[in-house]
Amino acid sequence: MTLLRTMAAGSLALLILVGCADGGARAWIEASRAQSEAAAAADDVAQARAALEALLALEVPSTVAEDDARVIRQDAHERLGRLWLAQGDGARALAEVQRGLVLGEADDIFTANLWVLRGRVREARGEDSEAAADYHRALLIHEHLLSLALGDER
Amino acid sequence: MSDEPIDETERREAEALAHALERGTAVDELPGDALQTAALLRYSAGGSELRADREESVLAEVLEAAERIGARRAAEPDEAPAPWWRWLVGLGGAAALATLLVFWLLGGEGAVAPTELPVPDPALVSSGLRRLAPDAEPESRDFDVSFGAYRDSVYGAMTERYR
Repeated sequence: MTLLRTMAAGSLALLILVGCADGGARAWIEASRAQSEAAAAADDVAQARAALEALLALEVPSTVAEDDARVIRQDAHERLGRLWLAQGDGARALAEVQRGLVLGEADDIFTANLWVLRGRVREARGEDSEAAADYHRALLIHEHLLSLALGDER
Repeated sequence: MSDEPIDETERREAEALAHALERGTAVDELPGDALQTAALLRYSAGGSELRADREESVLAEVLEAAERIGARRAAEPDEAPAPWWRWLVGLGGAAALATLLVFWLLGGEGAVAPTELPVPDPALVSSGLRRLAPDAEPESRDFDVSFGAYRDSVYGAMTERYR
């Protein structure tokens, strides 16, 4: 009887833990979205940067798929990098690109945006051939996405 | 019965029999009935080599030992209650099992299936391609607007995925 009670309590704790874990993933997505929208609606660069940094400071729950976290965080790094580049700080822009690429690469528009931004930074530095290589990587991903988009429409 | 003094061999045999039955833990582990039976059998087997007065003495000694052991056994409780730490071990085992189950259900980070991202609109991909043209402006308003809508759809898919 005691064993049955123990097992019942364990099962209840298990359900609560699983429930909290899923809630943590959703809470992270919602908080990230809120910061992303705050950055888009920001009146100035400082506000936008603060919102994106707040997004990146959010701890990713273990229940979030690694690739989902990559997509969200690559987007934030790319937007931060663009803000730095617009202010003429190529080094910080490049650092954001590197932080984004460390998360992984995929044939999606989020990774493509990082290649484009790195090309822009290198182009601004006069590193034309390196910039061309980055643009070429972005081009290949766009071609893949275009074929997907057109195939999806047929 | 004889008045001859017992020799060294007889003395050692008598002591060995008496002590073997009385002292050892192995002997104590025997049930009372079996102990008495064994004592009598062993006494009978070596009895012919002992003097009569020693036979009586040894027999009394071993039977007394058997009775003492039997009485001690009878005084012991039938079943001792389970010690408290056994419950802790049981609870700890159940907790460990539950933890393992949680990890198994949740899996590692790599085990969680990613969200299937929406396919980008052709207009978004086209504007993305246009910004790669040699004479393109560094910032593309068209792309930013299209990409903002796509970002919303990605967040929507993920919110649905983790609902």
